[in-house]
Amino acid sequence: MRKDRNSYSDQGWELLKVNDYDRLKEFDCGNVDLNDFFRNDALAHKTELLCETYLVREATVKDEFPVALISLCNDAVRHENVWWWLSLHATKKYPSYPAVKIARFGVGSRFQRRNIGTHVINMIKKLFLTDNRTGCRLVTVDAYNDPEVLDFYLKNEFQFFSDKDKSKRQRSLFFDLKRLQI
Amino acid sequence: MALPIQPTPILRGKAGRRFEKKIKKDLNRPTTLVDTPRLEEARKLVRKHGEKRQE
Repeated sequence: MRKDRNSYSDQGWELLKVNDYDRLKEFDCGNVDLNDFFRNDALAHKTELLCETYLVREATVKDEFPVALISLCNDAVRHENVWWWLSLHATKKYPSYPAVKIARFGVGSRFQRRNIGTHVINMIKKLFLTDNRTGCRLVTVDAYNDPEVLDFYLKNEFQFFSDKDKSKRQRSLFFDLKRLQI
Repeated sequence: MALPIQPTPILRGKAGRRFEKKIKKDLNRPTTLVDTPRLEEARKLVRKHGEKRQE
């Protein structure tokens, strides 16, 4: 049951917008870059209205330590097909899809490999499919180009945009919310 | 400083057409939420950790 616009709850797990960024200093997901982002950059991203960071907690635990953290921002997937306008009248195609981007996502080291990550992704999918203020068709993510990380997103039904970023440090993936049946 | 948030690629030409086709085709391949059989184990662990922090 959702409590307000800044939180979402599912099966006793809560997604809460972070207000106290000092609490993120203790967060450790075992990845130096992710830790650095949450500890040092997340607040600046919020201040600049670029990203909002949410903490995940178990609802019955009094102490609000972050079990996982996820930063989200608005996104759009542009597909510049020169022929798109020809079919505009027939099927109302658009040259871009509105999306939400998972800018950063990490689960606390001591809680990893117990499906918390998948549950959070499920929550994000549900939230943006059923309770979104604006249109949102895709969930996108720029994931570290690491087999374990990519495997996680592929297991969660994300797909690569293309192979062009195969050798880059981060790879872009997407999930089409329209495919989801809940 | 952490890596910047990468821009989502703009899919031009062939890549754009391929993406559009994929999106359309995959609508015939509906999906459900992914199972989380170990979530109860996670809950116990988090609660235990919470108790420890309270001590």
